[in-house]
Amino acid sequence: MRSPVVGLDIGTSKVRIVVGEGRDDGMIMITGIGEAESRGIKKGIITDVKLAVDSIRRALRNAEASSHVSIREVYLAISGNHVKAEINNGTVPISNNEDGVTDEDIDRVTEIAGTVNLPSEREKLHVFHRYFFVDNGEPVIDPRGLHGAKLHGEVMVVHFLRSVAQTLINTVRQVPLDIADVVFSGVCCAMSVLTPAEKKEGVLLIDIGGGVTEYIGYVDSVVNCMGVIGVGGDHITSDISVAFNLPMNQAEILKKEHGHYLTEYETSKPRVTLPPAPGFSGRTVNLKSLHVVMNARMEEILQIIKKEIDKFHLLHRLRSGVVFVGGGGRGNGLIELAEKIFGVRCRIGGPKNINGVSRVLEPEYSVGVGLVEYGLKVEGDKKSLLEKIFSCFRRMIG
Amino acid sequence: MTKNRISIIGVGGGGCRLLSLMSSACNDILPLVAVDTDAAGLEMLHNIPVKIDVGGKCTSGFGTGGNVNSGFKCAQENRHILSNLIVDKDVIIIVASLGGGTATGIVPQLVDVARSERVITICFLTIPFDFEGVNKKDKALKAIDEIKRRADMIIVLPNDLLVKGETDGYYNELFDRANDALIKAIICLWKCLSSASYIKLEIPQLLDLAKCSSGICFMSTGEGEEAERAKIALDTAIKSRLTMNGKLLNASPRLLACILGGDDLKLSEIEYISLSLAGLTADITIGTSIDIMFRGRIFLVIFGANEQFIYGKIDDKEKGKDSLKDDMRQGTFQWSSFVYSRYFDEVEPTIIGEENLDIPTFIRRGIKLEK
Repeated sequence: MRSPVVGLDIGTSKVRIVVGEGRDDGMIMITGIGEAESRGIKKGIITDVKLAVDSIRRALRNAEASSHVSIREVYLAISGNHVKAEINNGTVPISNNEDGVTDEDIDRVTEIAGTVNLPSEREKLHVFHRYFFVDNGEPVIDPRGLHGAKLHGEVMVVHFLRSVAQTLINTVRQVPLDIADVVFSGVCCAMSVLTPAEKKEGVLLIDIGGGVTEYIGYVDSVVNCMGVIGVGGDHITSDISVAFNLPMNQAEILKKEHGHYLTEYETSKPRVTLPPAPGFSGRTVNLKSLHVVMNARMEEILQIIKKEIDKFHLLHRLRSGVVFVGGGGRGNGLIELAEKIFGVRCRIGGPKNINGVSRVLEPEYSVGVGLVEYGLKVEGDKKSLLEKIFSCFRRMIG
Repeated sequence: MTKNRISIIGVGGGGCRLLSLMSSACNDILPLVAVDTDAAGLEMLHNIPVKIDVGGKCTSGFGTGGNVNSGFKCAQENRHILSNLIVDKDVIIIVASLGGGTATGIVPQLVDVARSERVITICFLTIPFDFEGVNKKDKALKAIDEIKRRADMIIVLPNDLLVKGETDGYYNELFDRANDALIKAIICLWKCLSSASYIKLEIPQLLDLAKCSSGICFMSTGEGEEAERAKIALDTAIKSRLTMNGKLLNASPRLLACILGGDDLKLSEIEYISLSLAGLTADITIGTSIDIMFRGRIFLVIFGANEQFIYGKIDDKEKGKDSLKDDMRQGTFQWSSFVYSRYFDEVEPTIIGEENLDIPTFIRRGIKLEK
């Protein structure tokens, strides 16, 4: 067994820490988890450092107690609708006519293609390979050994707002924790939840968190599109809070216990009564109206994603359908609504092919488990071309 | 209803100041009551017959200093005084500026007392300007949430719409004009309810209007002099910022108009106003009253109701869903954005296309909810 790898996912609703180790047979063993309510974070962005530090410390204490290790360094997930992705490309001459395309050619074209003119306030986070073209040939995933004069490479560059990331890093350092690397949370999710077969056949992963919703689509094992929308489960709760004049915590209870995303869902009773609680005098709510409010918001979120993926002509290529993770979209009727909108098979996903603490199989742990997988790959020996994620972050944390 | 069965109660500094301006604006002796926690402020109101200092032990007579809890405590400790104030009344008209401590803390309690004494409450409530900050506005809107559960009718008056003009103006002039309109609106309503008149207003008619929208109503005013005074008053009221240039009038299921004129008020002028408003909505109620101080003039106040009003949405079947987007782009009705976007105040709004996605989807889509 190697030394443990720790993933830190600072979400709008919960801070989650996952501790894992790689086994000699290649499996990942999750040895501990820690979770705490998030405070001082909205839409995936830290709004109050002190509260956020306190939240991380509480999760850390739980994780250390659970895993019986002292945690000093973490792999950190970053999210928020400031994270953007764009496709860029570049061309280099193939250096060696005898051997064809080599790793060095691929590195060079990736470096050129990954050079994007970003505004001064933005920083590059990841560069993903997409397709390669040798001269005017067909797109290929792995061009090594192909012969030709020029190698053209297409990449997806993920970048973020430096100020937001710096606040996140400084917050984690105040805990105190060192940061081994920073990874876009959508990428972590995809690593832990999707299989290579799904990525090859075409799949869209949607993570509905408390503050934001992320999506990442794969076709032919290549990242086809990704994005973040600054709307999440908190917006559904807030809509309920406004519609029925409820405090947010009561709206959350109503959503979880009586919510449904389909307006045509038949309820056994027309109304439900929330009992009084400290600071709350109680309320009776029309259930059909509750479902209407929830349906309106969730449909809007899914339609926005559908519009985005249509730009990449992805919808008709999703042979493995759509996979949902995250706690923000938990609720009855989500899959039925999503299937109506996307017209493909949809399912709730969760981390795969791991052993250990059973709770990490829940969709909410997808990012944390993905961070552990990422960390183990980075620290391990084996890296395939497809899973090589160029982390540009190290320049920033220095 | 006789005049002595209605009281006009000013609460807090803003409400009491309006009362002192009101006393000289009408030929009748108005049943004015000033309630405040600032003893010195009350002392300065020379022309108000009844003045109640509820500051007492809580504030030592120095006011609440903007502290709502202090206002609430003053109301709780003097609940019996508030009850005695209103026990022999059928209706109380409350005037207050929300956002500070006294009115924001006391008005919800006063309305609660009135409810338990079976006294009808009509509240004219101003709320702070946007530039006064989120906290002050938040306090005012939370108070409205509390008040609307027990009040029979609330006329909400955002300062951004009541005071500001289409262009910038002198501070004193703008406030004087706004105060003048508000005072006359209250006097007009009181006279229509309490004076002997051939076209009288009844309380059930007011309550029927308020029931259309959970008690939340809007109002607009207009005044005209000399020739075409009825047309001028009507045009001013219809095009007022308080009705979003008439859109709220179009969308209200019913309207109630009070006309105040002098002894030279003509029947044709009342007919003109009534028929013009009937063109906007099927259900129009008119009340009229006469005051010799208004000779040569007509003052008009229109009250309407709209179920989505407090969320900044016009429930307008003709115009469709885009009207809200247009209004928000033009910034003509931004005050109620605080009602629903407070939770996300600390971060940048999520804007996609031209829509602010922090605003509830059901509001932006104009979706009606069953109760």
